[in-house]
Amino acid sequence: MSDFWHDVLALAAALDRRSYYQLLDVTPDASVEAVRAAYAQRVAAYHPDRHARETDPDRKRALVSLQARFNEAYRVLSDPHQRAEYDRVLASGQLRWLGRALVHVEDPASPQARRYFQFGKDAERDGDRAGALMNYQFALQLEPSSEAVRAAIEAIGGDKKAEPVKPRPPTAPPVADQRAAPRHEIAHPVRLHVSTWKKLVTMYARDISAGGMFLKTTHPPPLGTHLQLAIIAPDGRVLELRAEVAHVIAADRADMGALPGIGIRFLELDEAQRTLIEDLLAAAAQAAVLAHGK
Amino acid sequence: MVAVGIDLGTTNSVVALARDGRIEVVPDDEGRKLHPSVVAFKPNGERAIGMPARLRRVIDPRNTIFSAKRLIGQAFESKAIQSLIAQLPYEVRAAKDGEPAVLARGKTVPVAEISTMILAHLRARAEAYAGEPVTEAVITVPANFTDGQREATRRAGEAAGLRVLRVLNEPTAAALAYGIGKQVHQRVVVFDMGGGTFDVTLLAVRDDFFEVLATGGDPFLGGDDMDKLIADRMARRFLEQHRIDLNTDPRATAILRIAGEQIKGKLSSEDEVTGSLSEIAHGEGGVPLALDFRVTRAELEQMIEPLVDRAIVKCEDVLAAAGVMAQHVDEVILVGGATRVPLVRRRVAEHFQREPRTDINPMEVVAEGAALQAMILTAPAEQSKPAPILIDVTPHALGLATAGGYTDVLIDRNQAIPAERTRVFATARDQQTEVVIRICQGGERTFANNVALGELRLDGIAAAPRGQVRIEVTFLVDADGILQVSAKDVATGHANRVSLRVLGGERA
Repeated sequence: MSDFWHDVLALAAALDRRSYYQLLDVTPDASVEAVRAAYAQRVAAYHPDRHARETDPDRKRALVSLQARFNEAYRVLSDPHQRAEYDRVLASGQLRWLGRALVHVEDPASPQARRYFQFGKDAERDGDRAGALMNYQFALQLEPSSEAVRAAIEAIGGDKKAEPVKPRPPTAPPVADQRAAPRHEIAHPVRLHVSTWKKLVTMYARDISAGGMFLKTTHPPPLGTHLQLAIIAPDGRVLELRAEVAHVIAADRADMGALPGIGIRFLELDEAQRTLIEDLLAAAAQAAVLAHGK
Repeated sequence: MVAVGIDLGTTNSVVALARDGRIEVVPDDEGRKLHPSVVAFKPNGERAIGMPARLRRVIDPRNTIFSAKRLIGQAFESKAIQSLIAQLPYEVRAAKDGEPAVLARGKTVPVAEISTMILAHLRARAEAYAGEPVTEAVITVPANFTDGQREATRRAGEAAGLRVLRVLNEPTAAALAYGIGKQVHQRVVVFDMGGGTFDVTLLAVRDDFFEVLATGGDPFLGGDDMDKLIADRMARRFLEQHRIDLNTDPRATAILRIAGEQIKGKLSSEDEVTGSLSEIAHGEGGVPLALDFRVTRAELEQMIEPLVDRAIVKCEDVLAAAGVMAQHVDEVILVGGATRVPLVRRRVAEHFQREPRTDINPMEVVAEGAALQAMILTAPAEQSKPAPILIDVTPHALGLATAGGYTDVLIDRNQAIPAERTRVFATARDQQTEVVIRICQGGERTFANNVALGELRLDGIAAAPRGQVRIEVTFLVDADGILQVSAKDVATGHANRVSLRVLGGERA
């Protein structure tokens, strides 16, 4: 095999391990003009049309993958806004600018609607048809397009139209009344070791900034329990957060579809916690930059 | 063996061949380079294609099929097709696959087969002219053609015995014909108004590198609409004078449309056209009635001004999408028969503040560009001079349905092709072994507002609690602008069986 095809196949296999800068072989401070010139050079050498007579399917597919990724790299790096966004995610270790990485095909889609949907299922299981119907209707109101909710209502013989009632869960006290709910005096300690900076960034983006997270456990504390969550960063620094249990999925209900565990809601962060989070994210960014040799 | 470029037009088609580094446009027996895209089914069971078929539009409007390009690769049920069918003198019905088919001489013929007949005719003409077999072709389509329309066009070409080297966008082909070997460094706008569709494309051309920056258009805007305005005006006058609605008679309608086309053409060089259509209808007691007409260029321009306005707005959109000001455009190229209309030229010149280029015949430039691309794609690998490379873009966003009725866009509009994008999905239900993913064209947040392309069905997924199984779905838009979808289970690496049911152009 010629050097050219060897290089093509090797590069195609390694695409997901190269940053856009590496793919186009430009420095992170390269001008748009330099990016364009580098791209044109890549196109001249690798574009599938340059090798239109090639018949080997693996080689053809590799060229298409390469060209598609060069197009993507050029598109992002030649647009200042997209490039700034990309530099941000690259710093956290993500080599490709993908927008959202994971799409949940869940029905209902919104967490709120899912919550009431679950309450409805619980009520139905306990033989409380009226309670089930009410919760399903809350869910439908939050997400009128949900097929699953409609099906559930139909199954228990309810009217599919969402009634104009304010959503209020019967099995969990509403947020405003949370303080009045029975509270466990001693905060439940939870320690979470975060092994890599990348995981820390993910946890921040997915959970902490969203105000809550899910913890797997087969021994869930009761609803309303206060937690003392210690997140231990890769450099040993400890971020202590206070949270409360907002939702419980008991182990004996694993058949209901969810993993056993608890949904927790973080309580207000104070200034010191915010500062520490910022410091940790900066450290993660620094680590990512070092890892990519820039 | 020789490769050809085919401009498969709504009204006329052009075929060009590349031989010994030169491009030649193939004429018919009478030396005409435009081959009408018309197929006539004669009473004796024979078929006529091209100019002889076009002449039958008047005498046998119900069995003379034109404008197949406006129907191909779309869903019969779609609104656009339904409103178009109402204007056609021949009958259109739904074929088994949901695509439109025409009814001619009692036989149902899928629209794609009409295109195949035209392509086979062009191929035969090219073979007769070249004196050697023609087996490979680049076929052009409007830049705004959908995935389904491109796929149907490709299949029509293959059914005509051609290996389709590329389904190429018409404006890009035109730019290639102008720019090749000229070492130009410029921003070029291609304003392409044919019989049925309008496209506008902005390209950057540097050396031998053609990069499409943005494209847009209107699939239902073209010279035919101008002809129809003229025809409608004449029919209205006739109705006022004689209380006879000519549009209820297919023969009269066909005569009016052809007259409209000719009047429009004459008014490109003359200020006024007068004439008479004899025996267009019969009055009381079977008295033949004639339609006398007089149309001035000013009247025509008043009628078609709204159509031209629509095209200019699309030009603004395309420039805005690429962030380019009209005065920063270096060249404007006119393509398509409707750009011969003086008002169109005037408005384009005003908008871009420069005189548009017309030194390559606007009717032939697309086929010439297609033949050039065919030459590039069939050139031996070790070539002394590097050939031009085209980087085209996607005309529509492509996405899929997520829960809640929303759209997740994987491939944006105006993204360079080939383009590839992967999304990871989590299962929604426990023990789910099958996932159906709906795919659409369009970037609207609400899925129902986009055009559904089809659905992707994955089965054989390992049964597990919901959310545990991750499925990676990859969209690949190839150099023809055609979407290919693949999927695999992330954990097992097992590629699931994927079937994409193409609906073609129906609302989600």
